Amino acid sequence: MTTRNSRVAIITLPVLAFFILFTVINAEQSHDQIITASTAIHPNATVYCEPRIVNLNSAGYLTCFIELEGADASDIDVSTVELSVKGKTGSVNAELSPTLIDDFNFNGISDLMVEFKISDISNNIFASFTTPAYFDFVLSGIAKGFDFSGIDVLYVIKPNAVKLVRYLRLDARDLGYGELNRLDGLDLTDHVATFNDFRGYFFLTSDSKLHGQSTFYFQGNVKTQQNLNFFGLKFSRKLTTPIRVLAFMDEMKDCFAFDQYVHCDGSGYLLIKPGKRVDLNHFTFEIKDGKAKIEGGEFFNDILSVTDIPITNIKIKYWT
Amino acid sequence: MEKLLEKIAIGIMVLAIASPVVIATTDTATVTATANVMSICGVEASPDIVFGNLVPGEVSGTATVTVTNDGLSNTDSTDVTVEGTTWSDGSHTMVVGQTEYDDEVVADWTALTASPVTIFEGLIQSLPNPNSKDIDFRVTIPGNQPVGLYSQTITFTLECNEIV
Repeated sequence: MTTRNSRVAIITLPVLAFFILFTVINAEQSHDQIITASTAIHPNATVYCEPRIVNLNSAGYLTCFIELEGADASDIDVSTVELSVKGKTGSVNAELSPTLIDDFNFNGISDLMVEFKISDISNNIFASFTTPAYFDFVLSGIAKGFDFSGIDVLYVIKPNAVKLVRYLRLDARDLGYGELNRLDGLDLTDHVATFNDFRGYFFLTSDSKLHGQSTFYFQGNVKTQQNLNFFGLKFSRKLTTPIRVLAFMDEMKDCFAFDQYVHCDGSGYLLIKPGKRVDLNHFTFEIKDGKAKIEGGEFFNDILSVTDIPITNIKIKYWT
Repeated sequence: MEKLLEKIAIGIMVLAIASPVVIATTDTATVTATANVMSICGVEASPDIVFGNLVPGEVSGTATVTVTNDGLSNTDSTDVTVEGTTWSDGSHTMVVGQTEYDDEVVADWTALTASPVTIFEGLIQSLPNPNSKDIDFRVTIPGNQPVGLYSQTITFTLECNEIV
């Protein structure tokens, strides 16, 4: 029996020893540790305001447009939108009305339009204003429960009243026609301009009332689609339709000029031939760097938008 | 000769018993062995990463996580792997690879993946414990990523062999 066990041991124990050593040497272990990463993604806001020069003497409004990334403009709670200025104390709440959501800059993304009373900006933020300068205007608010803020840099002035401003586009056929971005629902794809003109004036009377008028005229061709029904068969074809447009600002409410910059808010109407007369409750233009931008509509540029119209002659008379 | 063999056998048995192993033999020479292996390595990673408030298109700041081997004895061939899950706020998702790590060995940032990738290969060894390494993380928020409170889990796995 002893001999037999010894023989078994001779055979098996080396195997056993190898097994033990193999087990110990290869005692591979695996341990996990889990951590959590977190982040709060807020909307990225792009802000654009007009006028680009803020006249603190103005009785009008600063109109701002907020475009969000990560949320839609319609997600913005207007009651939370406020304006502040870097380096200044105080803030101004956005007017709850009017507001409008539209693609104001024609980039395919909706914007929220809000307005701020310039008199509030002057009183609440620039009460101690001394020198014209550029300032960072910060618009902040909440969208979908997440706060956002965006900055636009505007020049702030507090000028003496300008008594007379005249502006004129000369040699209209040779200067280029600007960009016709929107015209009362017309498809402006492939439109062709053959003539346009922009001119006007405004002046202050001795009783500080503002008088003046401005006209924008456009002549060209647009593509329209004609739908035909021929014995039940439906066809459509594109037509080249000549149009003439006259935009007339006959009531000037808040206009000022500074250096070679001109801004004017008012109201007027639009005549389109063929077409109809359309009232422009809001009509604004801006001349900056020798180019004019004209916008009109019920609230802002929801009916008419023309940009980059060359203006060659601006005459500004300052009287004290 | 038999006595010599018996002494060798007894010696191996003693060695086996001295190791955390139980061996039983029968006269039919059936052998059962059980090895009770002590915990030879462990991994701790901290802290949780809070990237804070970000906006679409923004790259976060760097967050550093310390990975520590807090095992009980010397180890060898110790590898650490890392993997992550898809970011989610419950309604929207963001791919795992928006998170990147830099283990300070390879200069460039590397996108985190859903399957384990070895970092710190063989770097945590030759204890004494604790032996730790830092790994940096950052996240890039894609443009137009919907707003929300997003989170992901990152798993570190430490694999090691005891030095015997």
